[in-house]
Amino acid sequence: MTEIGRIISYALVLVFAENILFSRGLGSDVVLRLSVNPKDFFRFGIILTTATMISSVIGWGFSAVVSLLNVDIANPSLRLLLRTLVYLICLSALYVAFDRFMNKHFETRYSRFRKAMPIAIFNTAVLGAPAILARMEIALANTANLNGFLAALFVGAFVSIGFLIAVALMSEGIKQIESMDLPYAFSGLPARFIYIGLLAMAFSAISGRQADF
Amino acid sequence: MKAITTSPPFIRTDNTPAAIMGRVLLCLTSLLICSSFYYGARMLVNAAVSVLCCIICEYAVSRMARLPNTVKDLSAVVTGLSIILLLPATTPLWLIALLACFAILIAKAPFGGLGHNPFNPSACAVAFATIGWPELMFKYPSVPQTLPLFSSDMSGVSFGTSVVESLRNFSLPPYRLSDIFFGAVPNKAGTGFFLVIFVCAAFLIMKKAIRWRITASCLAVFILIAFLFPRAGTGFTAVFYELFSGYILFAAVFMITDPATSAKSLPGQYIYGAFCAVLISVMRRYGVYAEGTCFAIIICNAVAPAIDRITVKTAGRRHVINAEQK
Amino acid sequence: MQNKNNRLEEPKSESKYRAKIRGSMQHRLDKYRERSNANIERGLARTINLKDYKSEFLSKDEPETVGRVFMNGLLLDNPVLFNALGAVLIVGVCSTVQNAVLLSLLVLVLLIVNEFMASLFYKNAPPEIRLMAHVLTAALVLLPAGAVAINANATALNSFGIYLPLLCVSGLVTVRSEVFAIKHTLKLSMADALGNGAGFAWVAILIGAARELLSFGSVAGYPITGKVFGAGINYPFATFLMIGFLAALLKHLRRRHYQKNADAQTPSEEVQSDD
Repeated sequence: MTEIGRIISYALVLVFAENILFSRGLGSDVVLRLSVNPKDFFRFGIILTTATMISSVIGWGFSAVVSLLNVDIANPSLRLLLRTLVYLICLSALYVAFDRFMNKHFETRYSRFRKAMPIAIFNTAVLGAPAILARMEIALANTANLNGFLAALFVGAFVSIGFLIAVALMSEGIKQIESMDLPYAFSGLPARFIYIGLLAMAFSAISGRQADF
Repeated sequence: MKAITTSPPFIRTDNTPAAIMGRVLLCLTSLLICSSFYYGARMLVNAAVSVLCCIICEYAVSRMARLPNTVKDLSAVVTGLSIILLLPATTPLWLIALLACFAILIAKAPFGGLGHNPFNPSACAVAFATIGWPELMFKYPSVPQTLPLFSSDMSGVSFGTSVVESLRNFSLPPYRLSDIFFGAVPNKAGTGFFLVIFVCAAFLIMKKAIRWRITASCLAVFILIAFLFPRAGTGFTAVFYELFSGYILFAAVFMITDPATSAKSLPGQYIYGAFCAVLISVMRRYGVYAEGTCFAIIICNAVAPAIDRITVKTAGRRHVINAEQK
Repeated sequence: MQNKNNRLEEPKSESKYRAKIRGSMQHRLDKYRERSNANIERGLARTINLKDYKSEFLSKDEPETVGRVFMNGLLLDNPVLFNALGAVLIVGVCSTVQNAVLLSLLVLVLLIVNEFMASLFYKNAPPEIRLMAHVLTAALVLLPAGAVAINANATALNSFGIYLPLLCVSGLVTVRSEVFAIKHTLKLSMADALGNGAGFAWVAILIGAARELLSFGSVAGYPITGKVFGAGINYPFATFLMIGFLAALLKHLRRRHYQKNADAQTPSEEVQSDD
């Protein structure tokens, strides 16, 4: 296969097979509580997707900086926790700066998004995307000869596109569920769980393995 | 007395759910009879177990929900039969019972029963089986054979590769074309009898029991994709192998036209059929399993209401614009 | 007729009568725009659903005692089953009972500290950075808590993988602090933390036991049966289905519980005849 063909197939794998919502469950705490208004979904979905993508890129930059510092902690979990703490501090600083800037210059337009921004930025999908990038970087360098910043951009873009598709499918399903005459015990959240379960079952035929964490 | 508002000939068609299901049931029963010619009475035992489990589950659900008995709709029987027709004939009986319960209790009952299920229940059950027990689901007994009636011990049975698996390996299937067409090759239990499926499709379309536009556009796009991207052989041979393998034809006639889960608007039906065909082809070529049609059907069912909404909105808008210009 | 600033135009010469009509039309336009902006904001707030899925049976004037708040977190307004808050963690981590127990302990510690800080210190913070404060507090607490957990059982914690740092942002600790602890006293917040922690714990352990039984045939390391399912049970979809059915069961039991005490409090929604 040519280079482009390999890149395209890897992109498709990222979008459908390694879908962070259906194969790993990340982001389900936000998706399962969505309201069904199409305008809200679109706005919120776009914010979520952009945040995921930017987070991947920043995460790459961040891990590059960290690896330069050569901090050596034995246990991988502790290392991960420390990195997460520092990453969250950076993300919070960026968010506060962004919030102040938008409030000062685009107040009226930003006021509509302001309430949704915190939860769109601090959720499991946005924090999980750079972790997935870290795990895929080696595979990406081997198969597609992409390194460094380009790899981060590539993975971030396609992971967030996959997440947007997943959120779109779930929003469609939630809209359908809300208009159905469900039995009382299954109304609301339980039907959404079952819906996402069945859809994740369908997507697991593309990935076909338990996503190894 | 009812005022008759139609003109002669006064052809009467029953359009109750039971009647529509009854016609589909007739077709599925004919497929079942064909398969029992090839696999012996084991198929009838399979069918009995599956249908009985479905009926018991449906009855239990309607009792718990204190609704009128929905078994009369015959939809449970249809689900039960389509499940076993999609599994290999050597599936153990306990697995069939489990899948029948899964289809009714998990894919259908939580959403409110007949007409409300967002996904095709038999597709969900087959998908669950494929993921959970792949070693049981891809062993196809060679035909013709008499399988043991009740036991799960398949040691005396010989197995063969199906056409789908040969296509997956990009090799020509080692069977004659006429054998493939008449279903005398290892395959899932009831989906290999393409002549019978054609006759059933014609019957159902005549009686307006299924949405024929979905079937037509799905098959057209599928044939186009098989022609443009052949896997074994070239040209019409490739199309023949792709079309008469696995359960694409069965799915196109019986599963994706399910009125509860497919697109309802007319332009939407064409788009939905085309989308199904594309997704099924992609699943076959790039999915994990050799025959991933059931997964593709689940994803298509999830997209169907979006297709409806988009086509209706566009059509409505155009109508409004045209009215304004007048 | 509207100019660039969306105001109605003034013609060159205008009678008083016309001016009055234009004024009232402008007034109506402004009110309409105000209302639609308010709706958009409300809709967006509904999108994130921070306060949604509250138990429809809790009336507003119910006294919030410590016991009631605890039972709320444990059963009646369970964070996982009724608010979808901890589902990510259960899907990713709870494949064995051991993992589930460890996870629940971590969640309990995080909840207690987070709600403590929230009810004491974050009450006066501006709403935009409150959620951020919760997340940072949780991350700061997770570091020593994780170190202690590693001392206890390193292999189990390492098997959490990327889900370990997700404890800070998973909504289980942050949303609860944001919704409850900000507005209530310290004692009630502690009760809420304990209740929600216990609520998460029993769901996580139950589902962990089910997953372990079905995929490995053992419960908490004690072998009971052989393998029942193939490898398929460890996919996320099976966990979602299990959580869904558990949530349905609990919803049904909750309604039965309130139907029995129907004279004590009036449910805020009409009890339907179908189930």
